[in-house]
Amino acid sequence: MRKNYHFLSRATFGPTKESMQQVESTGIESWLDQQLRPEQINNSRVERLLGSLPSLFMSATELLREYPRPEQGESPAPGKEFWRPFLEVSCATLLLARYSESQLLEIMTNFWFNHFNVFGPEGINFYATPPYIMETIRKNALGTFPKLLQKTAKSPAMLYYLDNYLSSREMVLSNGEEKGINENYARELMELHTLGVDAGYTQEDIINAAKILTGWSITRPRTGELDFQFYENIHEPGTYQVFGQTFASRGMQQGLDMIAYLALRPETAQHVAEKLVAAFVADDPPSRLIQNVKDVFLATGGDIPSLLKTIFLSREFYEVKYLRAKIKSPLRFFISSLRATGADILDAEPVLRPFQSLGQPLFRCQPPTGYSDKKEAVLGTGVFLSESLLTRTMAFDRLRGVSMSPSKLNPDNLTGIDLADALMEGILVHFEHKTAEVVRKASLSYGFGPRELISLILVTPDFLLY
Amino acid sequence: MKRREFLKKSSQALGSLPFVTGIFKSAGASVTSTTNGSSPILIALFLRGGADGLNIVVPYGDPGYSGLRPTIGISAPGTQGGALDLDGFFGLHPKLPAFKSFYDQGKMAMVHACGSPSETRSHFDAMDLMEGGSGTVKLDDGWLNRYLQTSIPSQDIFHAVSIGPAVVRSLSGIASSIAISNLDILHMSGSNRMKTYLDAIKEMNAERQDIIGYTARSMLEAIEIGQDKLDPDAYVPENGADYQEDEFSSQLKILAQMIKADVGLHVATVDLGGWDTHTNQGGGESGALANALDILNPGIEALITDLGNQAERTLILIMTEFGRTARQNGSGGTDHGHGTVLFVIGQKINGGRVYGQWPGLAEKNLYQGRDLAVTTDFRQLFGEVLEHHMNCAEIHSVFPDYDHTNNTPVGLF
Repeated sequence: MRKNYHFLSRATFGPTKESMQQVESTGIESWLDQQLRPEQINNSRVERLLGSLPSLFMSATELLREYPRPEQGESPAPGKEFWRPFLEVSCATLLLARYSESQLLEIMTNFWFNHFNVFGPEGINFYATPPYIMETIRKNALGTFPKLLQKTAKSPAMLYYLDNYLSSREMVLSNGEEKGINENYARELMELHTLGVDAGYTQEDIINAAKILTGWSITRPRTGELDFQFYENIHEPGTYQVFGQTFASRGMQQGLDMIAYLALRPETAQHVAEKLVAAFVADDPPSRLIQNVKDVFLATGGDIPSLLKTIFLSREFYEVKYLRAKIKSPLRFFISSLRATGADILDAEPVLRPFQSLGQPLFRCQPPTGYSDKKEAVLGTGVFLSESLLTRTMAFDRLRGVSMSPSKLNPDNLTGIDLADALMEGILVHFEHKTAEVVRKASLSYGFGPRELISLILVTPDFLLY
Repeated sequence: MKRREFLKKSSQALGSLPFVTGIFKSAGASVTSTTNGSSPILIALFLRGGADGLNIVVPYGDPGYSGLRPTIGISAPGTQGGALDLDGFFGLHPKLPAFKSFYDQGKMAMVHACGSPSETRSHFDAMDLMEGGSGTVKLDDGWLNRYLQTSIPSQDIFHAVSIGPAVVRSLSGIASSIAISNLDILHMSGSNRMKTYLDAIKEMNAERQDIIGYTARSMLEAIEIGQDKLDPDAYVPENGADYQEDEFSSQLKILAQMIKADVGLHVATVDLGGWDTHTNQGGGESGALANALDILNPGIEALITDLGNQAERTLILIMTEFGRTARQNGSGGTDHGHGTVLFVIGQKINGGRVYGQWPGLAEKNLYQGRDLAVTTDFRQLFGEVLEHHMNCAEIHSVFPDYDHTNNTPVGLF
């Protein structure tokens, strides 16, 4: 029971009664196998909800046409504002996290987005970020690492965010303007996306990688298209060495060769393994499991489902010291509280607002590192207070866009200690003695009704940890 | 040996420290402040992203400068969009008029060609080292936290504050600190029912020795003081201070309110982003850097103005993880570099000077042929700030891999 709860608290956005029953009946391994084939999962409920977000599956080009930036003095048709696609993909993220049956896919979409972070609401990324999330990341989140890396490298969102779209061979334009390389993407490609900061690459490696990637850019705005484009005329031809490997001049193919090489380096395997084990097991991850995940990465060519199976079926994952070893990020905290209480999102838009005060507004992380999920990064004094106020607002059914009914957890209208126990049981967490004692006391002596008790239970250490 | 291996070995030698925060703080702290209205205050402002020292404090007198930056260079003083002259060699970016006036009043000093001995050009690594207060070895706690560990433990919940969602790296460690983004939430929690609710949270965390336990207790104490002394709606800036509407200015306003309310603030951190100017950096009049400075300059101006004579005890140290390439890149910006400029604003410093040995911008003087070299280790400056402004007698334990006794002081105190 605790084992299943632990597994679901890491592999999903929070255990629900239904998911606990599923895992109990099928066992962890076969439930995991189903999750790793999300295309076979019946997800009609959330798909219906996503139907209310018309921009969601449009390409960047379609978004550009459907949601144009208004000319000066014009105002856009209602529902056609240029920022709406970004808003809608944010709403979709909440709905998918709350309702999707393919939970592990959503967890991995979130993980890879932070690994391949872009800042959403700026410039052309108002249009490029939604398909980056829904197609580039989500469609490849359970595929292979080399493919995912290549897709991000060719995505307008990444090319824009890390400036590679401007990177050019040394040249002087007819107006006298001098063009040249921009190192930003080449550096983060090695530091954050593949090899890791301590891998030992040099400044020369970065410059060579940047030269290889010159010409990897975005269609010009006047074409009315927004897509990846390789421009031969600004590409710097030449044979370059990057991280010990020589890449012959082959136009765009040279960049693909380099990315494929970086994707499968042992240093990349180590870096990705460290991040995955830290995300799923503990901030201070066990090194033996990292080694196993790294070995599997190299043996399978970066097959993401194999990496996840290695983690979730490992002995280390279930070690007692790793139970509740992590603190929930704002997104996980909020969604898991909805899932545990059976609360519904009626309108996702107003629900985006609280993430500002929780410190991690969706898709708005400015530095390329993405949001951290480490304990000290997710829980400050003000954030804890915001969480305590948020659960209270929610439990009293005053959070716009969310509906929470305590009777779901207390169908028999219990009171006193029975009420406290029923609610704690309903929320599925195994509570420590001290916490349970205070929750019972709140019910019995402090006059807390079911709503106040639910609010309190959702900010117990037992629920904040996972 | 690779650094990672070295670090593993050294952390084994030290024994691995678990993340325990706030063990110095007893539960149920006293409500009275242990500091008084004259205790020194340090505000550490981190410009995140690597601010371009060469276009912020412009060495227009260096013969190499303008050639390195044909389209984004700041022109000499007296020209359209030109620098604000400081000393005939350096000039300030024209978007920093308030800085210029603090400089002229002797209340601001810069240390140029300052930075880290590490050659890293990774944001993450460079911030990690600067906030850790070390040269190349990674330390578990932050330099400001180690300073707090050497100073008298305080009972004040607002003794050490990160303005933001989480305690930043420089302030994290076993000495207690809190993180808060706004004061409004302290006031949303006023009713009696709410108090009972928050007390229940406190009760269940009373004995927890982990980050949740500490954060829960600190939250209750912050509310208790905040309710009484930190009502943001009642706060009126003084001396005609004009805070802009942006987030940075509102964060500085929180600091001003905390300082004036005398809630025991001793060390505070604030962050400002927008400095990673790889493209469209622009020159003196517009562009990404001008935009970032347009947030920085009025924010600091409003804070100092508002503080009035409280500015006497307040020192602002402005830092950034590295500078940027001396040459502009191929897209009108600059890439990650090395040396840069750091600022100190305080009423009692020997201000009105640009400190540090200028390494020059000739090709042969550039670090690795591309960046401004570092001639002053940032730890030299940080140490002097702690020693002279905060009266810290143990800077060697704050900066364990730096020897202040064998280095020439910057000399701004």
